[in-house]
Amino acid sequence: MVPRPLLLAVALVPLLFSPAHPTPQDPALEAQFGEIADSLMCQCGCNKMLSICDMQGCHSATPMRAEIKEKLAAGQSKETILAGFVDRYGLIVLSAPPATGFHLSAWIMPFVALAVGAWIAKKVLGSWKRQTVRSDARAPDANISAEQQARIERDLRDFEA
Amino acid sequence: MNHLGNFSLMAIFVLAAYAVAASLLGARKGRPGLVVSAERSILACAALSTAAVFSLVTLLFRSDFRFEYVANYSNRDLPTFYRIAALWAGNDGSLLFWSWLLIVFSAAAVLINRKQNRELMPYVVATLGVIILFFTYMNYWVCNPFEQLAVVTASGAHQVFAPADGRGLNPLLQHPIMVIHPPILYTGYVSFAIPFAFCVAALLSRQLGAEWITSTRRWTLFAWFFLGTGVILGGRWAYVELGWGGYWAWDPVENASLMPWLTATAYLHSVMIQERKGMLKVWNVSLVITTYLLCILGTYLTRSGIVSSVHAFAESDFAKIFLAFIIVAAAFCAWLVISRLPLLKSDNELDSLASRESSFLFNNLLFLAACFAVLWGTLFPVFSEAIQGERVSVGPPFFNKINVPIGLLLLFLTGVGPLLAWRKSSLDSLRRNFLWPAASGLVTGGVLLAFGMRHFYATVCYMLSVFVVATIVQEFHKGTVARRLHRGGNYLSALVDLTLVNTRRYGGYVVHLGMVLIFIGIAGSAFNVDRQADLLPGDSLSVGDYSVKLLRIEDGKTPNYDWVATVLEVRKNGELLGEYDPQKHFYRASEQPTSEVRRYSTFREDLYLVFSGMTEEDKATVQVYLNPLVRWVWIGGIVMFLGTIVIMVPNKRELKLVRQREAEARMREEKALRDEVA
Repeated sequence: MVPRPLLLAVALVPLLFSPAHPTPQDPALEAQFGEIADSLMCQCGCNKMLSICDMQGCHSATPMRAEIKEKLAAGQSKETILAGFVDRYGLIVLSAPPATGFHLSAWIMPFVALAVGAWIAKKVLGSWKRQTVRSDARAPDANISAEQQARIERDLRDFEA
Repeated sequence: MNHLGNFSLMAIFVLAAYAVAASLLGARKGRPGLVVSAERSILACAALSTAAVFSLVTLLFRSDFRFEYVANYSNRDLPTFYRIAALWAGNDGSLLFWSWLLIVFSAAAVLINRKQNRELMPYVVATLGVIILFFTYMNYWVCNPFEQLAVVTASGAHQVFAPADGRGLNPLLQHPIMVIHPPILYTGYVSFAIPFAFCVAALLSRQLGAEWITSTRRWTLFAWFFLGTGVILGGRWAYVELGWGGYWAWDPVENASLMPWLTATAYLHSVMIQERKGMLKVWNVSLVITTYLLCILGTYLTRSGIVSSVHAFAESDFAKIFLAFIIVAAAFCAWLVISRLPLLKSDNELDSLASRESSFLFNNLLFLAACFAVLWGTLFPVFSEAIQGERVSVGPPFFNKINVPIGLLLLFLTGVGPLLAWRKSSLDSLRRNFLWPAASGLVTGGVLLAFGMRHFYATVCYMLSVFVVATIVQEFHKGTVARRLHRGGNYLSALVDLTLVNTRRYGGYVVHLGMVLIFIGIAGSAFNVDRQADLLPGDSLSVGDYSVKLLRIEDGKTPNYDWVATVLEVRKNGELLGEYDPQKHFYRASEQPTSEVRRYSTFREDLYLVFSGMTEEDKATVQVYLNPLVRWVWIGGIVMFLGTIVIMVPNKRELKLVRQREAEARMREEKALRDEVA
């Protein structure tokens, strides 16, 4: 007998229903499934990775997950499975751009920017340092004794604490 | 009410235009009367904008479905609580709400500065007036929330009609956090307009001393505080409402809020160098300008739909006008900064590379690099589509790979910065300051490795977290001991006194502590596990030490939605923890389902339960996530919140200076009076 809540659900929540999806029981296969599901985007328009699209009965995620499980069970590698999805949907199905050709720029630009920034920062610090050396040389009180210098340093430290 | 709404928008447009013209003319011709009238126009705009918001809220409360916005974002059975949220549920209403906040903050800036910054105020008013003009233009002509639904009759006339009920509010927005999260986030975004206006005013008027920075430091902190709180609340909402077990998905809306927060954080550090040493003036004006432009760019990216498809741009007037505004504003600001470069000359002097100045410079570099990586990743699909003709996705794997190393370097500098003295750190002081924190971090790494932790980034993150916490504790302890030596008293009172004497410094440390806790929580996600199973009553599944058994399935109705729940018995190592009932709601008006998750939350981990739906075999699909340390993300957010409040409390030292200046001014006045009498 089908319980009443389920009947209500059938009547009111058709979106909730989907075919049963067996979960791979082998931990190694499960880990591989997780990796592949993290590498793909669901194509239902939710803009989420396949691993986190939580719409039950999603017309995109459900068959994609079933296909991955089938192919893993048939012994296909991660690369082959991903290539199959790219052939069908294009690069948009991958959750990150491939690190080849034009798309390599997606990966390297942030580090190029960081390297350029670091180079500029180094130059700026260098110029400040040179300026300081020049102004120290011009300073009239450059000949203060070591004792006086130590006292100034100590006072400054106390002030900042 | 539409007459009131539209009339108010029109009047704001006229008054804002007057404020721009009158303030600029007043400043040029030296006529303070004109400037005051411009300021009063801004105050009048605030009253009118409040009336416009009030009229839309009234229409929502009256379920007046003649109005397209009301029909699209509410329905008769929508609880009163969520009718307010409908104000920012759609583009038109949220833009009205945005404009209202902008105008109210502008009025507040005018009122606060009635007697100060008089040279800057005409330009501040003019800048804010231009921004108000733009947003009001968009609200009246491009996305007007007071549009009525109309059909064209046989005679060609437009006849207004009202559907029997509205389409309802997006169910995902029907959550208490969604009533407070958008206003808090918008407050952050919008209030960056005030420091931006002061910065532009300083550049225009060539008054580039420390005044504009002093006047806007609190505004910047206020905006940064609200933006950060909004981001954390957004993460919390995603975690408890979206049902995928996480709190941050690197989607364009989230990225849009993170970018200005990153640049503002950079500014809050670098501004200290300008205040102390008169350095980084060009850098600081650039950061203030960039932060505000990123706020505008963020709202453009999320509203125009350009991130979903570059074709949205061609189809949308909104996208074109908004982009034009951003380009014009950016070009104007760039010209302004370049033309004022000679006035922005710094006293660029650096005593040593081992100084707080240089560590701040590198921290700024990393904040900017993180911001660039987020911007680049968010926009890359648009570039790829425009250049290659093929769209790509840029999801969490990209952002995590790029930003995790940058984040860890920032965490490292969070610990290093406070240990370096301003100007110069001697080798001896470096050794003394770094010894215990570095040893604590290394010991932590050793212990974690001994206990079998092999995740590289997580291990480094925990080592650095302990290092930073040790530096913070050391700083408080050293300061407290020194205070007790000078002033006596017990340890606790000395600690409180120390904090009150320099609220910026010690409040800053508390903020750093909050940030460390957030990093600890985020690093926990490296160890997330989840299981999904299709269960019949009596079936169980286990994750880690937990077992979850389906007891029964229940259902019910509310006026707004129908619900189905799985009642689950949760045990940990065999010990009963209780019954939890994750649910599925089905909202009738919008015909959309949502997941209502249930959590068993501890300081160590969250057991996160989701009822995903029913299978064709009448089994309940239950997803169980085990998320370690996630609670520390929220605790970290609260600690950051408290730290920012400490920073905002006026310093004892500052108060003393203010009182001293007031006393000196009184003495000068008395002396002048005596001289006059004599």
